[in-house]
Amino acid sequence: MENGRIVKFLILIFAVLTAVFYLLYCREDRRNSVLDENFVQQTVENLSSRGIEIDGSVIQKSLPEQKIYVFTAVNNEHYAEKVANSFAKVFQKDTFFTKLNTPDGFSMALYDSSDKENEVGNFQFSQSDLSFVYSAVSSSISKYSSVIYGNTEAIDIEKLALVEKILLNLNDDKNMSYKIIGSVSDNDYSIISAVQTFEGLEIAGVYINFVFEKNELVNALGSWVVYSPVATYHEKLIDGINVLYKLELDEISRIVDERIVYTLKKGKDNQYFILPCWEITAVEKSGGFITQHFDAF
Amino acid sequence: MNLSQKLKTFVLRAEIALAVVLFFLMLYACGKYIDIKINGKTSSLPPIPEYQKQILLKTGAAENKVYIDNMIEPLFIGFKDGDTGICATFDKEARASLSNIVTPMLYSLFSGTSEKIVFDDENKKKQFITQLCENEKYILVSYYDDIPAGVFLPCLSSDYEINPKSMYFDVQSVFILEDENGSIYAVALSKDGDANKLIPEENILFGKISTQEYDISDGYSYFSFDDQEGIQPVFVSSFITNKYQIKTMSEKFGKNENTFWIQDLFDIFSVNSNFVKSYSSKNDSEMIYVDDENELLVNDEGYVEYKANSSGVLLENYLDYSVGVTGKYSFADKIFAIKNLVNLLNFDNSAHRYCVVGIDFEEKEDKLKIYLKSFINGVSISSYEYDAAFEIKGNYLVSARLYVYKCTMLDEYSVCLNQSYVNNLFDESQQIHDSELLYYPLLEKEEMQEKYFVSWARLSQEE
Repeated sequence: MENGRIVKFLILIFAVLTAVFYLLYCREDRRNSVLDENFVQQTVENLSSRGIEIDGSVIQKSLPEQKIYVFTAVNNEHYAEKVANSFAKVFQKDTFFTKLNTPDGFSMALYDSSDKENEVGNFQFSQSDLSFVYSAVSSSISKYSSVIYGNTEAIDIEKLALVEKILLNLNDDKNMSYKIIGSVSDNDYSIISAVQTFEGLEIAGVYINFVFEKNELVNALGSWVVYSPVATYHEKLIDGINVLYKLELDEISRIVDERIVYTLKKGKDNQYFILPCWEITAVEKSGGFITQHFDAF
Repeated sequence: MNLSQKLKTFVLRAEIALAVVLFFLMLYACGKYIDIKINGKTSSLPPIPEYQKQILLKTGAAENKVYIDNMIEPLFIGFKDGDTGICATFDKEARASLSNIVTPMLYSLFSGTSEKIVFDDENKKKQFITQLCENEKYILVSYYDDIPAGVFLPCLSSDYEINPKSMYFDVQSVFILEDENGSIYAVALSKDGDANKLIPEENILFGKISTQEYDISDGYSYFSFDDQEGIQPVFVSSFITNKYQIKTMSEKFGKNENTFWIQDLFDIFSVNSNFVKSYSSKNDSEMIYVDDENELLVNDEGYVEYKANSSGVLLENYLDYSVGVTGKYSFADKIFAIKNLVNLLNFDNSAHRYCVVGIDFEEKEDKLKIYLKSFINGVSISSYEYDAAFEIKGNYLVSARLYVYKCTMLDEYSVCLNQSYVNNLFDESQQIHDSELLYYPLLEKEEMQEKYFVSWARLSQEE
């Protein structure tokens, strides 16, 4: 009987202590996951005293916990074929390629199988930044390299379907996806911009601009990651306060937004990194908007 | 033992088991709490390996650094199709469009073989050049000054494995021509008109390039040649170009050794920051940092100068590989090392590019001097003869001097005057005409403004 009481007492003590340690752990975990509200307030005051307008809600309170990923680009030819095939699959004809090595990548010409003299278009690839350009022979339209934001609701459904088909062909990894971020069009031409996403976050600078002449895809320019990560690493990342001081604060009048995205970086040999980075949008003293990226690593 | 006792014993045992489980759970929770309290939040994933971390830091993972592969850039890129010659102006997109066609061709041509073209006399040489210019179909690239042919391949390539062919002649312009099979070959001309034929290693088709595809309102211009005797192509129409903003790094960050860019300079030139002593020059225009083996100077005008007081910085610091069995880095290795060093020094992701404009080599002392000039979209940033000079002795960098700029293209525009008209004005006002005088585009500061616009400047032989 006595033993039973002692055991019950111990159960109670252990249960209470477990609960206490768990709660302490959760409190510490939360403390390690978010910025102290006082720091945020002090930062807002400090920036204001330097003539920079910033709302406290702009500063991201959660500390970033994204990982660093490494992947290996097999070779120029593999990358070129993967991209070219993703495009070729959506054309309504049988095609074949001819290939040529260039100083920093690869060039491929796409021909109609039924008419071997008839070049449909060509691709140029750069291994250094996984970028490529597709140009249809039928069009002389200039490449459009700036990303377009907004106006996505006005995109023609057929063109959107074609773009999405290509993008789905490009992505094998389940963590890789895309986001249609903008479009512009006039009577003859329309451009659709799509950015690659990884684990739901945009990869800054990894986008494709699709240019249509009437309903034909005549040009595409951009870069895309077609590989899956082979290694994952953890590093302590810069928080949303410290990164603000990487800006050229003397030239800034207002900080509009900050958010975590990913960025693509070339490593040694054929290795690439997908790194978390901060994207900060600000207004310069001259009045213009700027968006800057700083590695969170 | 009756049923009631059996049940009690079972309950007691179950309670003991529960107490044991809770005990371990408590220990686990306690351990987790102590761990997070001491070490903060940790991950089961490993940290990034040190060698990969260094690559990220060295290639400037931070602040969106752009890695520049190409260290040679023509001032002029154009082509002729029939009677009409079209070239890219100082427009970024137009230049990139033609560069994408030309760069693979140049790479192939300078990977191939060369053959000197011999002329009986000067008249024959002039005749040859005139015919070359009058040819109906060619692509023409021309550079700021004579560049040794052997420099092209390592400057154009990012592949450390390349094996440049021996080419011992100077190149100021390259005419890429089409042979009877539709493949390319080229004639490389020096400033003096010395000609060499370049034959690519592999067959590359000249392809279709038509003036009809290029709209002169879209960053292109017509060109002709400055008189018949010259080989300098000139823009024959005025056009609109962007204005720029130029800052030097010392303007931006000052010379305080606590600033990160001074710390970066210490790292780049292997200056030991634990032992470095700093002092300023008499007029306070220079800050000098000295450790036992190195001297680093940061000047108000915006240049950084490094001098080795002992052996210097081993080139391996700028390359991803150590010296091979020969014990000596090759000429191409040295160019790659300088390319990487320039990338490290281009701190602020500036849009301009340092390009090779001259090389000196002293075989006896194994001393190589490399001179670079900075250009943005084919326009020279400064009127200095060169903006960077590096000296390599054996496998070591022994001196470096470089103007570190931050050049930004603005969304403001100015008119760039018709070059042939401006050249004539130069010649008339100075009552000279010498085909060896080169006219080149230069960024000039607007009066009372912090902005720069494109103007024309003249480079004489003496400069």
